[in-house]
Amino acid sequence: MNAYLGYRSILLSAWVAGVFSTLVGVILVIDGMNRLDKVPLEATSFVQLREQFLQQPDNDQLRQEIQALDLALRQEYFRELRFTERGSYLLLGGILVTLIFSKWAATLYRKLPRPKPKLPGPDSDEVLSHRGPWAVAVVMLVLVGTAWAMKAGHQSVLPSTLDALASVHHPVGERKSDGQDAVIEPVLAELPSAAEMRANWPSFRGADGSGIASDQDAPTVWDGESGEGIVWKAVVPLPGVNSPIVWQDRVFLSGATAEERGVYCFDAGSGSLLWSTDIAVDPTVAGQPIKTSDDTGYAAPTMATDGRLVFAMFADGQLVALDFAGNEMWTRSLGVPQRNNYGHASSLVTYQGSVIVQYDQGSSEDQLSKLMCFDGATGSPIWETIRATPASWSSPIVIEHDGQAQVITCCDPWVMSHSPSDGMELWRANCLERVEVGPSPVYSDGIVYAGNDTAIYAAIAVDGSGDVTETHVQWTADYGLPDTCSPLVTDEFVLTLASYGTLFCFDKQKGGEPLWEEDFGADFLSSPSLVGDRVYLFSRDGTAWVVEPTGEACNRISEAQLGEECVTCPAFHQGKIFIRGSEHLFCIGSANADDQ
Amino acid sequence: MNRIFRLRVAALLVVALVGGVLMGGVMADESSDLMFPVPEFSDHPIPTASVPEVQGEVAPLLDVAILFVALCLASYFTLVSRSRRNVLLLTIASLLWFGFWRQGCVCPVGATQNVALAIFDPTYVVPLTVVAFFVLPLVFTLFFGRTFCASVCPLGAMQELLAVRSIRVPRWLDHSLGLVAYIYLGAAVIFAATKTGFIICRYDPFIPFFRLGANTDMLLFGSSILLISVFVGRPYCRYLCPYGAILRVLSCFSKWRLSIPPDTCINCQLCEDVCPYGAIHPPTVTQSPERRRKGKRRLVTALMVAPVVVLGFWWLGTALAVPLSQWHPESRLAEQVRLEELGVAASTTEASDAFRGSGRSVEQLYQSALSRRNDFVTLGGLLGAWTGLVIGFKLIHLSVRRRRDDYQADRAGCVSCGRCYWYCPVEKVRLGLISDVSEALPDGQLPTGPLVQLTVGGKKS
Ligand code: SF4
Ligand code: SF4
Repeated sequence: MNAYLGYRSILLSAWVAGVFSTLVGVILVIDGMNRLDKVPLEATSFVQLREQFLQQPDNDQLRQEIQALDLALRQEYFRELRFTERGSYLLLGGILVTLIFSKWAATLYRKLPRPKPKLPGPDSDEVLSHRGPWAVAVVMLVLVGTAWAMKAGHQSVLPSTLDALASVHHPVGERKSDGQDAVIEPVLAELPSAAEMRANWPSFRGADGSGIASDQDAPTVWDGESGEGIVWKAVVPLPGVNSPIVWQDRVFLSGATAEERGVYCFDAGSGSLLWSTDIAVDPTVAGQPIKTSDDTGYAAPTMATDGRLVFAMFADGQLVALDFAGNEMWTRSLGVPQRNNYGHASSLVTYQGSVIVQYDQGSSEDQLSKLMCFDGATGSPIWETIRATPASWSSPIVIEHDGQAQVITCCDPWVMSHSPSDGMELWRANCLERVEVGPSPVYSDGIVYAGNDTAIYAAIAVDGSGDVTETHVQWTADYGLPDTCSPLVTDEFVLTLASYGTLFCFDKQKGGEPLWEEDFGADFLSSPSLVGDRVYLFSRDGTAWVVEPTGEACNRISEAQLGEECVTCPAFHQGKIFIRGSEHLFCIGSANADDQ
Repeated sequence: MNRIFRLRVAALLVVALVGGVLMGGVMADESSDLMFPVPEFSDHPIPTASVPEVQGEVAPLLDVAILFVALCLASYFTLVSRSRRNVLLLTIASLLWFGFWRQGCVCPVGATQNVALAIFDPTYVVPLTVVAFFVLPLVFTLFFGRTFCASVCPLGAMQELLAVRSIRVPRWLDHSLGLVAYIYLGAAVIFAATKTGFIICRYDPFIPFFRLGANTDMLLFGSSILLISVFVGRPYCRYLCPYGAILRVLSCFSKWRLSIPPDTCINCQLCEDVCPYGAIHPPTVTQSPERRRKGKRRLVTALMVAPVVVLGFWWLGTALAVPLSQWHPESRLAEQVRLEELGVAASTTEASDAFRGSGRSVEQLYQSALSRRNDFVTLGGLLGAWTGLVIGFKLIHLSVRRRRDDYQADRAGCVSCGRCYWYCPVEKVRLGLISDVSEALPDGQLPTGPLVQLTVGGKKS
């Protein structure tokens, strides 16, 4: 009986202590919640007093009031803090007492178990040696997964050696010298000059879309497989056929699949992925069918930058702007392109801080095709011109002639020029009748060169207005015309590359019949580029040729292998070539080539 | 009744703990607001920072002496007097002294890192007190089993007191999760040796409670461990404690150790399920030849797989140089500074601002980060190889069958808490509570093991 009484009183004590602990816990929680966003010196009365004081700085009484309130608020705060602290000790003590008494009670009331007779069968050691190794295997898998996640989640922006680091200079954000306030200046608040644009590779085929590098030299020999001549190669997280653009020490690319899309920024020096930003599908187009083909995919348009922001566009018509740190600045859905057999592919181009989109779709009767211009900083539309042309896949270029800027576009059946400031049409020439326009126009010395397989090739002077087909077309050619690759216009020649592997060379002044043609026995989707006197050709299977065209023949300088498929155009920057293969982004060149 | 009562206690504890967690969260949130401006219009003196007095010689010696006495008592209570009550009282005392009074520092668990650092960096002078804290429990374990865990370690004590409603963790799960502690030990050693950080201390889940304050993450982590402790006996000890990992191994070779019955086990099964830590294993049965063959095959496979696992994890470890080195604050700083140099950092950090004010050159910083990363290729490989070794060893261990004729406390897993004594009829005879073991058995139940007649005092008659 006595023992029972003892048990009862211990149990009761345990209960009392338990209830007490719970109460203390609850009070502490309620008290804590009440004080959650109470910052003492932000109390309304205090703030008001201070504001009043700002207006009457000589009011002594007010000053004393503030002082008194300041003290009171602080005292109140620390009183509350002490309350919490004491409460915590009480809670701790309460829990301890609960534990001790409940343990005591449980011990007094402890009963022996009534084990069941053992059934025959494998003992627990047997089960252990049977299941144990599998459980260990699962732990191994988890460890491998963790290791992989750690590796993926901790990319380093430091290259592997200091030497590699030394080759990367010119940080884009100007940094103040030591000792000053270490705040990063916004990346290029001012628009870059034309020279700066040319020194970089800010859009498809460079600043003017010509595929001509400002450098005079670039590597001629490399091998993607063995790594010879390759400074680095980096995996591009998502696929895409857009070409790299380069701004100072950063290389930008986009990639997408039906489900995901992303914009990537690589360090030009080390190849490390500086950031990657996932772009969410715009809710207005989510779930809508998007027409693409193997040759375009979901991220065909090459990005563009105005040195302040980068712009990317995807197959579903989503246009997005990001800053150089990868933060999304704005995004706009231009609507899913309609009746576009191969998927949207036209690349972006910038003009004076705006971004221009050639958004051709449907048939000419649909009047769905538009040339659009958006404010780069905000994404708000500046102008939009509806054009009665069907879908096309060529990219616009912005040129300047006689102090006037023009946006040149190719579409069926026109080569057209618009003013980039208001979208007004300047001139048009009919030379792309009934073709699916792929190659982009190129401008050189007052002439735009444009054309397409099954139509004609034309050299059009850009100083006309209205329909200039009869008046300003300098020459035409009807043989050796490109179907996908854009032409390359050098000082003397116009070079066109047919996707079946033949390079044609025309006299820049006369056109007509090609001066020569050279067959490379490979398929091409990548447009030719020029560095110095040398023409760079990247075939679809990754073989590249460096050739030197003359009036008489095509002199082959070298042949190199990328080691993977390639349908994009190279970017040339500071003696290096940046080219996107089917899986990797390659940087070709010697590590210190840009030290020259 | 007992069961319902325990459930209620568990529920109360849960409520109190959740309350504590929330309160802690609130407190932690507030701590960021503690930076007040100086009072306005007053001549309030700004307190100057003061450096605490250097501890005298006596305090550390006292700590060691107390540890030594506690270890002696723990060993005496578990092995000689076999008194669960005394073990429990000592546990509470240790928790109060080493935990709440000394605030969990110095503790043998964390001392592992000081010793590791001292071994790798001869310039680091490790205080003898810390060495003593590291070594004493090891020595005691070599002689008496894990008596340190039983009632001296404040971390163990906290969980011991909370083990109210322990569920049985299947042995295969217990073994596989137990691997984590060894990997943690490896990581703690390489991080300490490279001065990357003392992760055992930084991620000690009990420190927030011992010191009554921490950031929200650690409070949440600590509270979860405590909550889990209510239902899974000593989760930290079994699956995380790096020092416990060493003790487990040493305990296998201890000269004396706790045995459940004071004499021969009568296989009454009464203690089978009472260990909250799953450390009591029943006798094994004779295997059929078929099973024996299978077992041998398993062993051969394990022996062949083990070296491959070691190699595989070594390789994996070398690939982790970047993430591992980034645990070091300086490497993280180098990454941040590089991002800032590239102009892609969203903003500067306090560390990077401080660095720029320090006059140290960016190249030096990079150089140091790069050479550390290089070191971590080797160290990561070593950590990987260690992980592989532990796993390989576990695989072999799991395939080796050991014969048991009676109920035994697991050499490695038993923390010598003494909870099982009370259930053992042989113990009751020893204590003179009953005169014959059959008196303690449930009605109609006969012991299946060899029935040994014991007299009072536990001697065979
Ligand atoms: S296992 Fe670790 S935490 Fe647990 S009691 Fe032993 S030393 Fe302490
Ligand atoms: S003393 Fe008994 S109950 Fe305690 S851990 Fe060892 S076997 Fe388990």
